[in-house]
Amino acid sequence: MAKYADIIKVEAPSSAIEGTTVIVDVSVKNIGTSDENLAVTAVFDSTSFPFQFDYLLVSPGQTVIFRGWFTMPSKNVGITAWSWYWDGSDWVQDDRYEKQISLSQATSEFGSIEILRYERR
Amino acid sequence: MGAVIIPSEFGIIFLPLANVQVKAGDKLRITCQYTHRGKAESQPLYAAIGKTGWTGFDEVLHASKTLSVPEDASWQSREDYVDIAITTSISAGVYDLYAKIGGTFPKVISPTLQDVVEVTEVGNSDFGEISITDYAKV
Repeated sequence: MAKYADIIKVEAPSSAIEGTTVIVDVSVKNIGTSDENLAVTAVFDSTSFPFQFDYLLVSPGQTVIFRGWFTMPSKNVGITAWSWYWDGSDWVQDDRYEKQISLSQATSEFGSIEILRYERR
Repeated sequence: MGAVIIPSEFGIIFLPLANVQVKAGDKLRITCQYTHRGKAESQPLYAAIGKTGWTGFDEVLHASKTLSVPEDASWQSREDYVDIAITTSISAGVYDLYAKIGGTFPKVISPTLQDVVEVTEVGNSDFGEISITDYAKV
């Protein structure tokens, strides 16, 4: 359970083609009673990827979207996003969310065809 | 003295393909196996009866249907069929068969099966034989 930075949802495609940019929108709500500096970090598998904002000052009850992106590799990936709040001297990890993105195929090809049987109907 | 072990060996197995007889009014169902990988798409499955000649395959009758394949992350083998209606536009004789996937520029073409379809004439009404199968007082 998050203390301040509650990850409400993570929007990302369920599948993506290799080499395309995958956009990940992490919605974070300040569930505290005062303004908080909130941040998001994330990885796909074990590789971190950037977000549009390093951190944002968020009012109580307000939800903000942190947009991140990465290039889809040639395999299925799991993304993990963490939310953070600033306690005045350090960033404190607060909430966590995981999602799978499967690799989708860019092309279609037929390898072979053979006639198995033929019969009068 | 030990036994002599003869090495395992496989030779060529020749499987003669059966000839199917059809006549006008019949349908010939051609079942094909094909492999696919990649994104989902729709393509025509096409089959034709004709004669293989020096200029290629001379089609006499053909049919097609739309195949809708799902996305396949790796090679998948699938089966489907197409029915060719046998009409009077084909004359009696022995014909070849082939199938393909795709339109004008096929994605894959099957090997041609030679002399596998025999089209017979629909003749005049004939009775072949008669025999008594039962008799009873009525």
